[in-house]
Amino acid sequence: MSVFVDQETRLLVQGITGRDGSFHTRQMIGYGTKVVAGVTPGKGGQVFDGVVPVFDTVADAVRETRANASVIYVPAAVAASAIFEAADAGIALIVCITEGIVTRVLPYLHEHGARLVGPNCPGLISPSKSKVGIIPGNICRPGRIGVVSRSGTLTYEIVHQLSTHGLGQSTCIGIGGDPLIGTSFIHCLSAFQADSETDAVVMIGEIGGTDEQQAAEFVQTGMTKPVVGFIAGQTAPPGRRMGHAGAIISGSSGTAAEKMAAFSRAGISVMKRPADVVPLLQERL
Amino acid sequence: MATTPAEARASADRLGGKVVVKAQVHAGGRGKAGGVKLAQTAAEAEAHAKAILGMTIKGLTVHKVLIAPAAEIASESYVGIIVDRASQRPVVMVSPAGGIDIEAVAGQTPEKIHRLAIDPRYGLLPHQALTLGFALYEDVKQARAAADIMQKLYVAVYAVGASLAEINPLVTTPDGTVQALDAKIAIDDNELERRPDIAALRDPTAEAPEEVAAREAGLTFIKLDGTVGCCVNGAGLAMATMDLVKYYGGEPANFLDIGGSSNPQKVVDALRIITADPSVRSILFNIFGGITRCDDVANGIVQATQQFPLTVPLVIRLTGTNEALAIHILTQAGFSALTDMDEAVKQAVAKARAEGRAA
Repeated sequence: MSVFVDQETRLLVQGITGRDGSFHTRQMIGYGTKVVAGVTPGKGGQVFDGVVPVFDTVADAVRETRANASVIYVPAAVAASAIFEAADAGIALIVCITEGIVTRVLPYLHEHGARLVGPNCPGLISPSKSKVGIIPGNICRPGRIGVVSRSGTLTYEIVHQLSTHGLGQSTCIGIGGDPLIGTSFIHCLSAFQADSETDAVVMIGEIGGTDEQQAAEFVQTGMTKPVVGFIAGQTAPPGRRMGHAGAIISGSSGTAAEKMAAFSRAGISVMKRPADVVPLLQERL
Repeated sequence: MATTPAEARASADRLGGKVVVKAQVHAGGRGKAGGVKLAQTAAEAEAHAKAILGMTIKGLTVHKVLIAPAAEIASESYVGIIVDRASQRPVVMVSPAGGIDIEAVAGQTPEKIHRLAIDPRYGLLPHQALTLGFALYEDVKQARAAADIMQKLYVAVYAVGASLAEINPLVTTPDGTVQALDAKIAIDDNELERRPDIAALRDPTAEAPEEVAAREAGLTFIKLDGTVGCCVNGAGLAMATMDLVKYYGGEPANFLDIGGSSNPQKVVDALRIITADPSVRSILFNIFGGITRCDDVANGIVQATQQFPLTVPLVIRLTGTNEALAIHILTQAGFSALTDMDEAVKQAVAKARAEGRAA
């Protein structure tokens, strides 16, 4: 087992013929992901790289290929529309790499029983099984650590530390840096707790909002597996948006100190720097 | 709008003399900072404008003042709409305790703030707006007037993809009229990329010049007070790098994210912006190549040093995609590169300290 994606994932790529979509589709196929279809309106009937059939609509693609997950690389202006379309076609897992505000999308997805990962996220990878999104496959190793993060390259840094010290990963999930996201820390922690192939979890948060505090409460009450946590932005000034739309300290709320304290109270081992991840995990395993 | 005291006086004359002079900066708390003043005469408006123009509010210099007719105020309320992260919905907030201290109201007497989460599919419904209106006013006419303003504000928020909009104060005048006296709207940078018509309203003079230059170069840059210049790919890693600089006893000079698909030109622009800061004593590159190719970054560093001299030491850490090629490019050009983040940060902090002593 792993979380959300595995060998059974039949992936559809929305925006497969675009610059980013085509590049990452090749990477995902190279990694072993079952990419069964692509969608670009107006390009239905083409075959991407001679292997992946392209359709005009998600509904067509699902009917013909039984795709059960979708990854979205379309431009920001049409990303919300792409998410609606995937949900309408019955896709259960929608991973949106593109950034964008999704206020109106979330209640709709909830009613359709679809899970959205992102937006504005690097996607997820279950090493040696399936990769959906843009996380570089070569830094991951199969293993028993679950990783969930609001960030992209910081996740790679920490996964790299794990892999080089022999700590492989069951699944790595980038949930995205926007203020509104489809899949929260809690959804992922809960899935890792239930996953028989995950022994411990690394949670990587950042300044802004209260998602990490809520996740800490969940860890305290709902998890038996050890959790190690990191918060980026200890030196970030209040009131400034640190790149990610969600990474902003408003007033005195959403600071790194507040989140790290919540982690400690909940029994989460708090990393002071990325390199602490390996020793802290070794203590807890 | 006036940019000089004389213009302020002329506007005040046109409005009959009794006016409010308001600093126009992208920050809250203007009133508390002395950026909003009531003038009884045009001459007084001129004097206030003279004092306010050029003053600094939350680090931003005031270049413009708004001259508005002074209203007789009987009561002050607050109306705001935010996109709430916890409920994942827009939330309308109103408070009968409006005016300049709404942040204090939120902190000290949260019961005076009424909140309502909105289903984004239906918007702010008339009866919901009216209920909020009655939270502000007992009089049904005033409650209806406030409800009407709230519904219009909600429509405006959605039309422009704003993450926050507020009317503060929403006032009643002695004759009972409900009037929005001042308003603020915040639109996220991501949304601006989609809305060039709104992006055109951006006033670059209200922002730090190096941050404007960075944005135009496709970089995210925030100036800080330290001495270690940072150039990183990815926002999370950039924050973690700043934190690590502090961990090893240094102070970061900036937040800088060169973004995902870097090309060498972005690196040249980044170095130009970092080196323009006279307090920078060393520059740290921290690149984890995923989509970002390390060789692109290496080429950018080499190109930059051919275009302008680097007067402070450079510490380069890169690992990931095309790492070996990047190290080859840098070595050929006389640079050395590290692959460990902690080691690189330690060196950058030590070099900043040594340069600081030499200077």
